[in-house]
Amino acid sequence: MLSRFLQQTPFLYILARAIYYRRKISRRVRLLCYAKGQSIFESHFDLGPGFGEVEIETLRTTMNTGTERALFYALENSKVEFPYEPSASGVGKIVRVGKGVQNFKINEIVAGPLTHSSGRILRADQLVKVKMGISLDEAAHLHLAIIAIQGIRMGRISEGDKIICLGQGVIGRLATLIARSIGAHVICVAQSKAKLQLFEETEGVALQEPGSEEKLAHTQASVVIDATGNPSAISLAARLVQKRGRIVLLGSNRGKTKDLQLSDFTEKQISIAGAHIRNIQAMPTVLGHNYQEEGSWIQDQILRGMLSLKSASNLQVKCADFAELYQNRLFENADITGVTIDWSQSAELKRKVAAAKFTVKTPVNVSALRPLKMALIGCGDIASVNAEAIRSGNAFEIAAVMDSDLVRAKRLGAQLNVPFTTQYDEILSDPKIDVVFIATPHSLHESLALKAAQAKKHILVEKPLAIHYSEGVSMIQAARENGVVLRTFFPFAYEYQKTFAKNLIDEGALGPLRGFSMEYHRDRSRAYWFQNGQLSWRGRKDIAGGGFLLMYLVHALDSLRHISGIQISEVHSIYDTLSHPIEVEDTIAMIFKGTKGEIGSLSGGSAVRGQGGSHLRIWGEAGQILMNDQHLRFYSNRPVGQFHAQHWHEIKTARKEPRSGARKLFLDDFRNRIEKLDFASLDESGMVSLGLVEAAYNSQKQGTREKVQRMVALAESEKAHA
Amino acid sequence: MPNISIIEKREDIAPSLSGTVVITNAQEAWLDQVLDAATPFTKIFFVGTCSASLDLDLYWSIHYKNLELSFVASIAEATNALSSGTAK
Repeated sequence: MLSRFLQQTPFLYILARAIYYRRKISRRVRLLCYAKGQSIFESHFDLGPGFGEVEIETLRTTMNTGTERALFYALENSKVEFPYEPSASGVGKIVRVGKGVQNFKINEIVAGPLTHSSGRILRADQLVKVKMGISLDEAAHLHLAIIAIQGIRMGRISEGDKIICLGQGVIGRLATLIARSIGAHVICVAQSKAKLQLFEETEGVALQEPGSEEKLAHTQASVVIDATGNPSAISLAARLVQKRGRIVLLGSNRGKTKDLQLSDFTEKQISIAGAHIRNIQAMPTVLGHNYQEEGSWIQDQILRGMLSLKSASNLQVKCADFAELYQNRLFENADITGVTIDWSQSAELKRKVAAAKFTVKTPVNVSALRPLKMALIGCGDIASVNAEAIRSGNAFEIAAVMDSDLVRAKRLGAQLNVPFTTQYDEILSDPKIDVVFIATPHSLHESLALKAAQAKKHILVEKPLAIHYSEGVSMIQAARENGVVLRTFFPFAYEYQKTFAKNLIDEGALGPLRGFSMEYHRDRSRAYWFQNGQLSWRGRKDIAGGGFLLMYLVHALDSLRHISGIQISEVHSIYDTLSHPIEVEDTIAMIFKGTKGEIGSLSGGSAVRGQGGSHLRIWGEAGQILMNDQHLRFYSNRPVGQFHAQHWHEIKTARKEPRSGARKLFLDDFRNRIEKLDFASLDESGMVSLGLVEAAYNSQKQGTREKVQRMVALAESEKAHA
Repeated sequence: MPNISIIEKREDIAPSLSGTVVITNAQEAWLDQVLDAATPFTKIFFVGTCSASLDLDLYWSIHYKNLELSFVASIAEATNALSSGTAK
């Protein structure tokens, strides 16, 4: 219990660990890539430096645009797992030193594999001391330069060698600069002329320029460094390398190299060597340099005036601006080779990140308009519930009630203290009545709505909109022709927890959505289906049109659509009548496919003893939301305002739900739409539900997976009235 | 004397290869196995014509493990390269 509580409260969790391990707490703000193509800055707590570690306050980081792009989009071969902190080359100041660290002191400036973060805890043996006379911008490139130098080592490049460097990203650029610093003659090959011009390379070859093929046909070198990451570059390297020459694979290949026959290498007796920094500690004695020695050698080259790393990155940004630039795919700009990020003002970024708050937005504006007069059509049980919701707000005023059954009409009229009638025409001919709220057996919905539309009354229909999809289309057409607004009453989508979930998804907490699962159960006794020993309208196929799906699960489907925006395109269903001798289904299971590839399921029954309630889980690449009748829990790889990343958060939503809240909000929304004469949505809720229901029923009848053709039908309807 | 393994047939491929490996009769199906077994900085000589094609996994192994693959015409050439200390 305590452990669960601590895990949900990240700061307390880290505090408990800090006390246990007797270490300090370090707080930083860091860039986090939490799903493919998604990033955010977040506040993060770490334990202070442990044995052999130091804590660094970041001064500058640099970005290897090619690698960061490959990881951000999870390109082939990038082997990335979300969430991750993009690694960077950087420089910083030591602010704390852990036990067992001998060679580093507080305030010393060091370079190494930092991340885009205001601070970092690293092992001391991963760091290089920055020498006097080395600028922060150059020191920030040291780690990348040590990566690049592996290409020089594995190419065994020495003074006077003629080499070709394919690719002029930051790694290719650094390899070029280092090779030149030792006296090698380097020809640069880049995709665009702009990049060569950026470095004032007059001898280089731009592959996109006319004549580049001819130029390359006469270019050969003893060593070709492939620093492109392009899977086809090795074929070009094989062409450009001279007989008995060597190709060095310095860039990580982002895709499949196709049809590269090694017999071509045999013919020219070429060598291929890989160059990756991860093996630096295993470097054989013949090449023999460790990380610190490489860093020291590069700095000496700079101090001797043989090397400058200043041109390796061509964009400088402040950390406060970096978050937005990163999310806007800074690395997509081909003219940027590398980026240097200045962290000297990270306090401002920390404040900005800490101030971010997630608040649940009210789903609709409360209507402040003149209340419209509404007549309730159908005086069954649900009419009383709806009446309470109507009276809890100011959007509508109940002006009359109508039911073909006099007893029911009279009873509700008396209860609400309004006139009652058994004649629908009386309601329609009353000019004072603006809106009808139809809550009758389903088979009557279409005819009552068509008449109301002709009488220029706005129409609210208790779900479902109708029994058949074609009836829904007729109702919409009639509404449009008569200039009235039609909506299906689906209030559950406006509940507090669903609004909370929708806001989380809108904020990107789940990343791209991948799936959902829903269960929805009710405990309906025989009395629900039978009255006076006779099957009630709810159990009759000709009047109800369908059972548990049409009657209840449409709420779940509508809520899913409202919360997530998932559009279901295919459905496969199995259903049956298992508990009572009724004509409609009482148990059903369905599986779905969404238009964006999402996969989901919904199952439920009306005879689940003990009131099973409902459960909904929606998940995406970055997290998931779980909801039941009482609370909402969610997990995300990214922070959402005050909710920390990679922790479960529980919200007791039932406590925050006011009585009649969702129904009242729906009614306010409906009132606002009437004011705007908003036909644009064509009662999408009602029609989508009908489309799904019809497809699900057809699926079992046909024994196939059915396509939901709702958008086509809606578009046709809209076109007909354009 | 460098640690040299001569591989003439598939059965000669040890689970872990290091130092220098000379493959006298490379077949496509072997190459994956050789590169899987190779530890970082292993030098691999292919003698004669190698019929394999390079795919993603091979590229990744070479890059990630800092392997050195040399294609030579004869065993004598491989020996020369080794004795001169460089296969550049």
